[in-house]
Amino acid sequence: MKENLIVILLIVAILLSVVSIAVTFVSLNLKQVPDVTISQGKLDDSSQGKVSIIINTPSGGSG
Amino acid sequence: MKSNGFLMVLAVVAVVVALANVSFTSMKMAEVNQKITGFASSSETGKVNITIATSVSINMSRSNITWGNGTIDVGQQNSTLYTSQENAAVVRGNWQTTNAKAFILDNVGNVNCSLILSGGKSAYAFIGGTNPQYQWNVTNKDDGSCAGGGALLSTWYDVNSSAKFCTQFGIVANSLYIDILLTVPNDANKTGEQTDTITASASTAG
Repeated sequence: MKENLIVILLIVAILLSVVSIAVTFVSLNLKQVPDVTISQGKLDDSSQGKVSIIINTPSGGSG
Repeated sequence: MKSNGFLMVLAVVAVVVALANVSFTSMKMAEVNQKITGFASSSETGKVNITIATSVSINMSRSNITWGNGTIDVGQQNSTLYTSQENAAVVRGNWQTTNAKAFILDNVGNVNCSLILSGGKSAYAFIGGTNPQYQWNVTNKDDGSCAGGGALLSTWYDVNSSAKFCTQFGIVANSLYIDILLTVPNDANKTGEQTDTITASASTAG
């Protein structure tokens, strides 16, 4: 009789533990936690351009 | 019998611990759920607050002015070359205008910004000779793109190391021309290929 009670109590303990694990997983999986990346603002920037010229020596006379 | 008693105690403790575990998990999960964003269900609404960060970003979308190979016309003191937005001209010389059009500078950020231009060389360092000229002229490509600043729009200035053209370079009307003018004297001592870099720097408006 006592052995039966122990077996029942152990089964109940195991079931409660399973319920506890299930509650945890179900609760977490129901929530969609967004993967948010917060970037710092950029406060300055620069951009460059290039001027180029090929200057040949005048072939004629100059003024 | 003694062993059965011990097992009994152990079983009771296991049940108590399991009960405590279930209670604790349920309570804590309820708290966590209040803090997690993005929860969606058919019967509840959620709210997400975001702040879009200020981003200053400019881009010289046309970034090369190339005059190529040329010579001052015979008998002339100098030759003047200049871009005029989508066009260019060469006076008293034979340089090509095919690849010479004004720089185009765009504000591609999400906020108005201030604009400072700086050249790498003076006219003397770039071209040399007697009375060389190396100038820039900023104009709106989109009307109203640039406001404020110490330097005026549509005005030729000698290229220098720091000229503030806009305190409000806009994001709706957001595009500028930067024209370049060169006067090459016939005694220019910087012959061969000469280059200079114009740097546009933007920072938060003001």
